[in-house]
Amino acid sequence: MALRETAEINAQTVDLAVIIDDARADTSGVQHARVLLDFAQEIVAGKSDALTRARLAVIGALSMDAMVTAAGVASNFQRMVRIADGTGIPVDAPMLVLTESIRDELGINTYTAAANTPELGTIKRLFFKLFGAVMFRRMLRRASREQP
Amino acid sequence: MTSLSYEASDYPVPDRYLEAHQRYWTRLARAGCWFSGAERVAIAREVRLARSCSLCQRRKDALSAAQVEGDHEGGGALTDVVIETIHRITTDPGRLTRSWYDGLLSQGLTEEQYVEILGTLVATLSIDDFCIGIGVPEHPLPNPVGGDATQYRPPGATHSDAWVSMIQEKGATGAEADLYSGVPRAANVIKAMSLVPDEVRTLNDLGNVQYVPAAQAMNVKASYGGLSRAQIELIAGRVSALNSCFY
Repeated sequence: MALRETAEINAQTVDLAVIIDDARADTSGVQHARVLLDFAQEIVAGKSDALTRARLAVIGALSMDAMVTAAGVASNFQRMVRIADGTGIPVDAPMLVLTESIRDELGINTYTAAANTPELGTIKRLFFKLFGAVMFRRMLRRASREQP
Repeated sequence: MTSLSYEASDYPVPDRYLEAHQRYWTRLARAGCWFSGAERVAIAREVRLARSCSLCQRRKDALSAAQVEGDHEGGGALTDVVIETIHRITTDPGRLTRSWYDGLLSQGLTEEQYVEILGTLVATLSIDDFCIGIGVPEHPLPNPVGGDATQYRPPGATHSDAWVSMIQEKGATGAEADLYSGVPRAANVIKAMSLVPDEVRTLNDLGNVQYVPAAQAMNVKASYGGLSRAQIELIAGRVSALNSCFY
């Protein structure tokens, strides 16, 4: 979801399916997506020669600084996914409404942890669609405009 | 105290990583709310052992983890239920279920202990994976510091719609007033660990360094550490998908 909102506010077109489909990396709309996806994937897989190659590819395409940041982000999300799935938290209602279509498109609704998030009632869903999601986007736009 | 270093790295690592990781290593060695320092370090050690556990690998390859019986490779100072908790969350997080969690509680684990195990696990795993990512050996685990667990359960924690009790925004008062930085609505993934308040503080501390600083979180136009926000979210999305994370 964060990727889609980031793309929208930055007036970029991003193919979100790149998250699950490497074949879309070069046309995803995110610069150097292929090397970053490979690097993230190899960090999740663990130590290997492939990880070494992926690391060098990020440095070659971007920079050493970017490689360290990418390692930080990937390892951070190794943590966040376990917190979310290990505590059975439901997806926050505004986020659920904002991501309705992409969850279907990417097949995320079939994941085991989907059982932790009950469907929103009609009134709640409508409220978040009309107000919650809009307000969230406004907050993002304002913060992105105001901060350097 | 075990002093960490990134001097073995072939690439420059900004000091903020070392500082945050050192803060966590220092905390890891000390008694927490529900475990002693020795037990917390043993939990961290078990996280590392889980990654090469053949039972976990067979379970991950099976259609259902429950179909595969056997003993985990590792153990030592920890009880079987703690070891099962660590190994499953480390190696197969995308298939955790409420019934699996309830099974742990029926074996005597408390929800408070569960949250502290989870917090210890994810912080260790995250720092280890950072090391693996940049190509340096994992840090040696710290020597435990003596002291008793405080057995502190925050008074504002209540049951809601997660498996574990959490502190909601209005309950974050007194000693927990700092947890959500005064935001009117904190994300569930931040509140998830609040039954052990220091786990939220660690979550924020590491996230400020390994993701984006909290002050910049809503600014999706900013680049950070040589990556655009879109590139950062691309990596986050891929790691989440690889782990089958619904959240």
